[in-house]
Amino acid sequence: MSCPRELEWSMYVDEALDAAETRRLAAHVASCAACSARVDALREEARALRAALAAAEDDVPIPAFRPATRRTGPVGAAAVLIALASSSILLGDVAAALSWPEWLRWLNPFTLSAAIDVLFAALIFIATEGKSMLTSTIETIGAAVVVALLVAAALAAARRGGGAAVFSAAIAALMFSTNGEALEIRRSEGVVSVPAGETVDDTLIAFGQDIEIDGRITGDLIAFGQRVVIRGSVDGQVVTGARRIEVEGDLGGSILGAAETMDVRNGAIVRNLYGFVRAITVGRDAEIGGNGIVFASTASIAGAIGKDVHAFAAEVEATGRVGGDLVAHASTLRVRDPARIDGNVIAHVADEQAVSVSPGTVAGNVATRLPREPGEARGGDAPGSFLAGQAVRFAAAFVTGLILLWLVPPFARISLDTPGEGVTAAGVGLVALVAVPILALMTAITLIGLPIAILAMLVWLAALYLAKIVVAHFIGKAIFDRTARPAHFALALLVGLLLVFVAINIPFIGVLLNFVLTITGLGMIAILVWGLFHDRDELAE
Amino acid sequence: MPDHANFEQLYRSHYRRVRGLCRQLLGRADSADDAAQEAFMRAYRAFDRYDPAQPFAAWIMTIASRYCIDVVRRRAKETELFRDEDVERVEIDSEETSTLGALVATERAAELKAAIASLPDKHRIPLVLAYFEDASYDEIASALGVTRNHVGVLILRAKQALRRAMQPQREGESQ
Repeated sequence: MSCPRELEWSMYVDEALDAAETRRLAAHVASCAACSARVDALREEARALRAALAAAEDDVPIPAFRPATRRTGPVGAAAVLIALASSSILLGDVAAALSWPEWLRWLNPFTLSAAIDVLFAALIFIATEGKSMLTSTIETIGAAVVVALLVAAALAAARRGGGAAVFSAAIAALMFSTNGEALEIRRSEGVVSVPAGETVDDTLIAFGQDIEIDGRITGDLIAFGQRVVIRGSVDGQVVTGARRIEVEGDLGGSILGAAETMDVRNGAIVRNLYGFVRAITVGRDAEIGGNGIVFASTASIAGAIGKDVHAFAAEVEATGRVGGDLVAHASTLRVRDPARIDGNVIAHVADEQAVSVSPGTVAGNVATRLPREPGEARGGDAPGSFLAGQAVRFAAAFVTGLILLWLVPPFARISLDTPGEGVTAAGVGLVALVAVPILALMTAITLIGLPIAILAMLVWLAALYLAKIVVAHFIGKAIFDRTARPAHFALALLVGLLLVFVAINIPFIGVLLNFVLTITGLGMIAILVWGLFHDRDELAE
Repeated sequence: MPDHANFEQLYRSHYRRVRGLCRQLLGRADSADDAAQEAFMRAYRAFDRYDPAQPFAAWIMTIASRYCIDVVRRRAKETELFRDEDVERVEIDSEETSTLGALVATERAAELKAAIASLPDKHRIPLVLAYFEDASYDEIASALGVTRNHVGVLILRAKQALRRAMQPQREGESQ
């Protein structure tokens, strides 16, 4: 009987042969001294190789684990988040500017607190869960649309008091996130911290459950998490989104925060404070060198603010020192001792009783601005400002429309061949108008559905704004088609928008026309989008 | 669902071994740190899919070895890297050298490690997978895309090359 080959013995020793062969070789080993010796030698060799390979390298240093390397991701995401943050609030301004009929007011989703709720849910979701899923999608599709809406919304908002501030907040938000040339990104599911004594010589982008800054950051800080605490110092700007933001340190620039609660306890912010929050508190020991611009449910200002305060909030309470004017768009405004307002107090409130100012706290004048009656606004007393407002809205709608038609050419090809299709579109639009929020609410109740619900609502809000623009273009195109002289889509849009703006400003009938045009446009968008996907399915088959 | 907060701890306790595997598989120390980081990064991203009932060591070592094999394949610009061995020719130069003994391995450990590192990729990688990662021939075969028998050939080739590398000096010593 010939002995097995070396390959077989090698595999035998490594237990790599199947059962039958293993038995055969084991039997051979028992009866062949030469092979038995060979097996022993191979076993020793295997042990020697294991030992040589396993030789410990205990002296190898363990570098810190930094589980975040995609450089563009977080920057882009931050930009989009802030843009979303700004636009969803500013959209509220647009909606407020659009005249909703009284009997449909319950449908208006653009109340400040609802917008803030949507915003937080979106921010927190994106910061903690949906990064990989949403980042790329939002970056590519969302950014273009959001920026377009942002511009439109900012223009519309510029018409109102504090418009410049709002606009600068939005622009600042976009500017902030683009200047990070030297970047450090830290991401963790747990705590991301810059401990006391550590200096980050860069712009720091941090994602985590808790973000705690006790050390010093020489660049900007962009932080998203459940809780962001700044006890150290940041030399640059701070852009942050979290459920809770606590500031106890010194900031060399401005802070822009979107949060459920934002607490500026003490420390100094050299420039401005921009807060998009449910509740904001500026503590007694806090000092802000520039302006304080806050969108909130409740705003409580006990600290010192160097320049103006613009507060868009349900409740505004000031007990601190304001170097400039205090402008409040609020349900209630209270200025109490020991407040000291060096400028004027301007209160945009629903009625006189909503304002209470303790005597001796205001150096300038206290002015209460009540809302104009709808009739007044449309008619006589300020036709100039009314027309200017309409012009701004018109320009915003036109620019948005151009971008929309340029980005999504199928919108320019919408056609209704029969009057029946128009009615269908209006019906679909009405269903979409009512059903989407209801379905979104139902979906949001399940935790998994929350992101879908948020996305659906964001899309719905965008579609609502775009609806009249789509209709306007359709009307303009229809007119030019009738003259048998095809026009550029921009011209069709311009003419259509002019007609729509005139139509919806006709007293009494305008309200109804506005509603009909909106639901028709919404229906057109819904049918078009449905058709696009349907076509794609058919092509795929 | 595994907890990401534990990951840092797992990283600390497994880093050296994973780095060791990467160094052995890649045959050089300079890119081992990067490879180990990348392996942990991949593990971190896939951590949701990690079954805590399985040992973490085996999981991370598999991820690391797959990554390193890919690196070597790209480096070689050759997908058939492990397949071009002529199985039939194995017998030719067998038994011309004696197997490595424990004494040699301990006394000349550094030399042996250097010899392993300088083996060609196609021989070093299966050897490291078998004797460092403790992977079975079947696991190695599926990782490299070859048959189990082929793995046996590659490993035997590796051993023979090492024996030859250690041989001349041994002869020199005995003279």
